[in-house]
Amino acid sequence: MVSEMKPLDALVVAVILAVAVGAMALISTTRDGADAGELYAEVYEDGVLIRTLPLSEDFDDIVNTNRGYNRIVVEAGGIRVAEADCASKTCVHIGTKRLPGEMIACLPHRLVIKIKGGEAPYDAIARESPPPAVPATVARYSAPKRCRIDR
Amino acid sequence: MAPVGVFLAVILALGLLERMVPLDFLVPGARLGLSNVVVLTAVYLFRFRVTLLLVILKCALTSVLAGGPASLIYSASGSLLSLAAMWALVRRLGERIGPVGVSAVGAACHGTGQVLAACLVLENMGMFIYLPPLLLVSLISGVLVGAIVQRIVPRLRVLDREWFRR
Repeated sequence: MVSEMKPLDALVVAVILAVAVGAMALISTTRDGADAGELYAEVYEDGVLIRTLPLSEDFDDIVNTNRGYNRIVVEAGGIRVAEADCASKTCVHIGTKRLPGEMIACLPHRLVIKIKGGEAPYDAIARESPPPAVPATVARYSAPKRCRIDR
Repeated sequence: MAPVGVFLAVILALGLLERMVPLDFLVPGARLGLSNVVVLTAVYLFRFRVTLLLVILKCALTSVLAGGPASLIYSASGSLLSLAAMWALVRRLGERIGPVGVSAVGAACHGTGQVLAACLVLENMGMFIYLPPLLLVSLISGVLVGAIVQRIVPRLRVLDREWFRR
């Protein structure tokens, strides 16, 4: 297989590999500093925050979206989608998430669950500069209490 | 149109086969991408119009048979970006790049297109966090697909050229 590759093939493969591994390393270093304090999950539909669930409290309920439902379960400090009436079921298969920055997405229902909390490193970076004026369109993506940079 | 029908049938069969090998535990939504064997073979053998028709039919039929209408935008954005990139590489670089490289780029573009569509639909740029692991998985399957295509294309080239151009 390798012997049939042309130099340009090898170059292309190497470049994609370097980009993928480099980006993954970058993401993991950004995430490592996250000090898990009180964790909570934000549930978004169409980019709009529809629910905030603390991961310390058990929860089991159907969340209805305009395109279908997802049964969201919080237990033992983790969150998962137990059931959904979408075709792909990717959000169910992905299983339980419990670390800040982790996400569960249900593409058919345009539903995103993001885990947040503690003092995430990107918060600290954001505070070094004076608080920017947040345009109205951005403000609706930000956390309820203070301005955060969404990941 | 006969070749398109045959190729489309193979794509749908491979799609069914792929559903038995879920890669969701690696990256959400990741798949083997075996149908790209057929699309890339078409890029080498067919005219652009015919290849484009094949890809459009592939997206339409898989969304009807498997993913549901919501999946159409993701599969279409990935497939069309991937087709554009692979077509450009094959026709511009010709013999300088082999199927392995073309397939690797096609797979990367497919993933990028899908993540981009997800970012736009969900209005959540955070979805890009899924792209690097997806690139890594797609690189492995892309090289595999390229190696298969490398073996298929010369065997199909011996067929009547006119059959592919009809």
